[in-house]
Amino acid sequence: MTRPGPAPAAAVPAARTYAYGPDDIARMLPHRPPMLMLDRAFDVVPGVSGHGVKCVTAGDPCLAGHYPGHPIMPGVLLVEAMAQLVAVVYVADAVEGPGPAPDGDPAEGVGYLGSIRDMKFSRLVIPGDRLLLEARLGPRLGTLRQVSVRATVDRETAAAGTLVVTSGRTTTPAPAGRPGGGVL
Amino acid sequence: MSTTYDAIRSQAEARLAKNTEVKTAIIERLGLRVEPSAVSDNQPLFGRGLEMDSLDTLEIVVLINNAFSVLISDDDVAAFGSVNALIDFVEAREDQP
Repeated sequence: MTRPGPAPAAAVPAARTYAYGPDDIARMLPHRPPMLMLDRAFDVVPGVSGHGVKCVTAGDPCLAGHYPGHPIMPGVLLVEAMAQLVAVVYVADAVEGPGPAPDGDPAEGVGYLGSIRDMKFSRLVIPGDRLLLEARLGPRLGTLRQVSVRATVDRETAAAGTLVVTSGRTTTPAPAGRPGGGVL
Repeated sequence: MSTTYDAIRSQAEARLAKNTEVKTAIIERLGLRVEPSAVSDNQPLFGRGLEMDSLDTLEIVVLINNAFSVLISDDDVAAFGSVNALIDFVEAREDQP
């Protein structure tokens, strides 16, 4: 006589995902060329995680001077591209979430970059590269949230690390003894 | 009586060790230029204490979550009062089922 095995675990419903093209992203982010670093986003779980794509071309304005004859995408702009994906994940939560749709322009809800931690740049990014961006939101406190980010090219890590971002455009510093406020 | 005394002494030593461990972890994570022994257990973490800011707070949230699987939320800001307050908070949450 065989003992019955454990009951199968209840299937966890997969979170609904969203994809956004350039027009959607232009509505979700306040950034505009030459500082718009995200071509499209996909597998976005609002408020949780997402993937994005940035295609690097020889025509990108920053490459004209970085560097002449040896164009490579600046590391700070890799960080910016990943941060913009984080903003899309945030805005998607406001736009697609169960609550009432935000009043006004959703792009106005995009916050600021608070810190960059343990960021490692492992590969040069050059014209012709297709950057695949990943972001996963982590713990939060007040308006601050930690986010794990990664950028890869052909499955090879170009940059990875941790960001802290603010939700909304909080500019008021947290008073002494009042942790968790805005960016100081 | 000696058993009770030994138990209390053991508890106090364990607490002291935990405080030092957390102080050291905070100092290392935030890159503070201070020795753990120079930080008293009741010294304020913010303002005139260790002069941490709101970004440092989130680092402590992550550190405590990773080390003790205890989550500090917006309602628990009193936990950031001092190292002692932080460990009191952690131990209270650890004791919960």
